[in-house]
Amino acid sequence: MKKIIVLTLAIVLLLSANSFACVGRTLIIGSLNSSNDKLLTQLMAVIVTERTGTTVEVKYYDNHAQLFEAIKKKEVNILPENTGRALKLMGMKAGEDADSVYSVVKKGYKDMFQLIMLKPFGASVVNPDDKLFVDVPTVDSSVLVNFPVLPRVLNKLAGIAADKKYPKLLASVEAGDEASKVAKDFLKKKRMI
Amino acid sequence: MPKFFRLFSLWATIYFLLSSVFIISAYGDEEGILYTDTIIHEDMTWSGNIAIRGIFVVGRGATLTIKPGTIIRFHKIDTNNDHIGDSEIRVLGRLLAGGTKEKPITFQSAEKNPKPKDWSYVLIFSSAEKNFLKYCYFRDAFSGLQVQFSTATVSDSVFTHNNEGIRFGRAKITMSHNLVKNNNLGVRFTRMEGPVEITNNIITQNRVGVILVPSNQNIVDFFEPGRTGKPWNEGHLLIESNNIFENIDYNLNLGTKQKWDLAIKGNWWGTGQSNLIQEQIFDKLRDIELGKAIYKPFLEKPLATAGPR
Repeated sequence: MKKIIVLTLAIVLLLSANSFACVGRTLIIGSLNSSNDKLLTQLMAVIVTERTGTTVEVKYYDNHAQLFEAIKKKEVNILPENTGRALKLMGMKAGEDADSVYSVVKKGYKDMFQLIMLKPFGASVVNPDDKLFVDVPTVDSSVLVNFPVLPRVLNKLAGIAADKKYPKLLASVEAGDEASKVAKDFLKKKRMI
Repeated sequence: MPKFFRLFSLWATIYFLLSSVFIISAYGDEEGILYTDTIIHEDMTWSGNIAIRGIFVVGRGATLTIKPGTIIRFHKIDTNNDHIGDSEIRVLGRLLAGGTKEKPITFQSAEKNPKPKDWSYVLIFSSAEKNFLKYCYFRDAFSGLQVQFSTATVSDSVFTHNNEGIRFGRAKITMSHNLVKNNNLGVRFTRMEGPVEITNNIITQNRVGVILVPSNQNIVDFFEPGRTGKPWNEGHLLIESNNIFENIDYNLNLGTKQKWDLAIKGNWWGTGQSNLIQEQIFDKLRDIELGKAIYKPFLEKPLATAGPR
């Protein structure tokens, strides 16, 4: 009887595991439908795919509440978060400058949701009057166990939204060009992929 | 015996019986023997047509021998909804898949309109035995073949229309005379403790021919402090006498975090002009954090003996 138990435990463990850590299969990036979110999402998807060979899937959501619900359910691993949206979600007040806002929401997201905010994409040149908030690649901390190289790769996009070509890219996406192609062409020209 | 164990044992017995009944009842099906989630602990030999719907595990101590001409079809099921088929063969024991030129062994999708990622992979994982694959044909998979923490010889095989042709991690692997064509990623490898030999292969028309993927978990630290200018892979990884050409994005991509130089001499890159060769390599010249691919000297013309014999 003991043998059957041990044997069966082995089977259950083997058959229930979808994948081993080093054969990890896919990452899911969740995004809102705005052109800016789409573009940032595709920049992340492209650089992760090209620099690590990891399969990345993108899912779009109609509003922030839906996206965040998906994050909480572990249906989404990464998202481009905006520090303004994050403040609102946590019911906090804005600080005096972008850096202090970033520090506050970074700590809040880690403590409350186990989400890691990486280096910001930077202040978008598209919204010069809204310097207080920035977009930030944000990763579910549990994903870093299987994909420890993610921060290093995504941090290569630090400041990308402040690139002088960024408004042109955004206009291109708004005009209907495929965000993934726009992102890939841009990163290739910058020799980042 | 505690109540929990009695209940567990009862459940286990039922599980075994149901699994066995399902396997036996599948005999005579048009697609051959169908296996659902199964683990074997005794040696087994396959021939003819085999179908898999779920995970087939070759347990430690068991050997799966596959005869020439066998066709293994994987049904597409996607329980975790990640758009990757879950059916796979997982080898913890030993795999001997010796096809012949006339009668290769085929691993493919069971779908009517097969696509890459219809099934997961043949995964040789933590196998203590020498695994052997010759004249095998892998298609429609997430990864045709994965070798992790194991020893394997792979030759004269074809990897095509997969997401990844072949992936390996900390493995002792010899890969020779294979054709890796029309995959998203041709050869992908991590945890380069080797020893690995990749020789006499044709790697072409993949989106990326060869990609290195970093690991933060290398146990053997053979990078001495201050080591510079000397390729890290000498004595660990040999990639030589291959035709690696006409891959769509890059023939070779050092990925990220590979800050040591990589020796990859004596291959044909599709051209005799070094500037054009360099264009198809992603390394230090594009990202200063990466090492350099040392591809000179390179072959001036394709190696006629590369690919399946």
